[in-house]
Amino acid sequence: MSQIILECRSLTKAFDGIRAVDNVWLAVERQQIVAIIGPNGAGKTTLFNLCTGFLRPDSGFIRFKGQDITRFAPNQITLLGIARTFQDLRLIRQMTVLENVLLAIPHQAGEGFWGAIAGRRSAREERTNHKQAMEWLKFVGLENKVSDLAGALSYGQQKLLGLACCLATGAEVLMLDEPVAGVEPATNDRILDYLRHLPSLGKTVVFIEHNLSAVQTVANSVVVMDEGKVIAEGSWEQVSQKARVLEAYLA
Amino acid sequence: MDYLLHILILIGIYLIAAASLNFVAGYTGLLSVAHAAFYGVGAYIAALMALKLGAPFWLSLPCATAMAAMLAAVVAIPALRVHDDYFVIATFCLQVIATSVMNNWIDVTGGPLGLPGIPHPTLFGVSLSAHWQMALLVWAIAGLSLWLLHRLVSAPFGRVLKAIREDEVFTRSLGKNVVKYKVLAFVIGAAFAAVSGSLYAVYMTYIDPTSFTVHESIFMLAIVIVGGAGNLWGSVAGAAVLVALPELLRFVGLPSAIAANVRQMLYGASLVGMMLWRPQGLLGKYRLD
Repeated sequence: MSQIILECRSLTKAFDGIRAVDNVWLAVERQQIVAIIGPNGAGKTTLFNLCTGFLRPDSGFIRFKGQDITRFAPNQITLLGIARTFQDLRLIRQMTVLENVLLAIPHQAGEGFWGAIAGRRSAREERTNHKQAMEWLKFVGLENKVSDLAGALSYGQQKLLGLACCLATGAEVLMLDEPVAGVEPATNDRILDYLRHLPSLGKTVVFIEHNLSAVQTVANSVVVMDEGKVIAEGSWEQVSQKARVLEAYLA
Repeated sequence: MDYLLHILILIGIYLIAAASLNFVAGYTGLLSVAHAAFYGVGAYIAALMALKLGAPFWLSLPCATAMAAMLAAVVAIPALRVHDDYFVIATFCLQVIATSVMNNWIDVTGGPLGLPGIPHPTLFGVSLSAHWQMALLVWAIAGLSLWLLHRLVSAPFGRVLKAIREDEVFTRSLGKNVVKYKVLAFVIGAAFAAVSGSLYAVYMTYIDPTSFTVHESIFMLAIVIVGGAGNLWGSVAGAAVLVALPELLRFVGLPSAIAANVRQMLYGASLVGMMLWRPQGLLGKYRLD
């Protein structure tokens, strides 16, 4: 079995002639934690949108476990095994914390028309899913908030709920867009702790982050982007030495 | 007595239409103003099958429902490619097309003169022509419709619909096929609208295009909003209030010369007042915007 789970080959995406992602080659190994850093407008979120199907690349390929997923829809990609969070923190704020996590659980019979009408199997399934959702909520430490509305949580707690939803999809690869940005220090440390834990659960993590100390503490490898290109790749020690990286950050 | 039963029957018919529109607009967030078009398709198909083929209501009802569902599936594909305000406009166009077909396809629909002489449904050889018989039929079907819709919205299926209403992008990111659900919700809504329309045709025994215009769609939307979007019981309450209110205003004792106009004004004013004091509707928690 190949160690590479997610792979981008000469990926390019332009908006009005500006190459937001410009010939990016990237290979993510199983159960690694990869950080993507770079100044604003470097193309990090665009790269995420391409990998998760929210944008179609102009050219290039994306492979997941050897399968070409370049033209797949976002929902197909999630079910295959790449789930994501959003920079602007998306949740169903009018639903409870528990309902948000239940929503994320894949392949529910009760989500089909006949399954919903018939009801019996879906009621049994809902109980199992309930337990599963509670486990993810315990994992992120929100088990006391299950019946609160998602919109009533603090910002940090909403980030944790977003992570729980992402995990509940069952996806192997989690692409987290700024998981600790804007979070108070205590929650910041908690989130980083959970991230460090994920490879032992068989998960692979790719995350975008501006907080370099967070990158330094959890990432196994770092990818530096600037103006749509990957300008450096390697361990934190390796990339932080490179002159071009310093330049990109200081410029 | 028959007058009260008449109002009760109309409430029953409108609650099926409104509850199904609530399913589409209140739960899924698809603000359709074409509901009366599907309601009309149901009415015309049930009427035509009875008049031209002599088909019993028990056959024309499922046929009308299926035809409206198929039509909805066909129009959903272009209509659901656009979002929000544009979807409202797309459904408005659909509604206008439907009304003009009813008005102009004279060979089939009878045009503005409509279709008279639609027979009452029969059960075990007995024609259900008395008001109490029709009331029982309408409310039995309304109860069954509500039960089915309730089943759908209270299952995980309904959770996905509500999630789509709140945040489509997030719902897709969790692996849900948003397009499939929107088409399904639109089709199910249209099917129940046709059930309601079929009942209207066989109860009134006469239909013409004026009963299926955009005004009727807006009236159904008003029931959903007044009753409470995203709450099926709200649509029951909304149908009761909006159908009965103009009738109650008959008893206010206005001078007959101005009665009709003043009634319309009071009706409008009470709706505006309702929106100011309780924008989420009688039983709703959620504000449709």
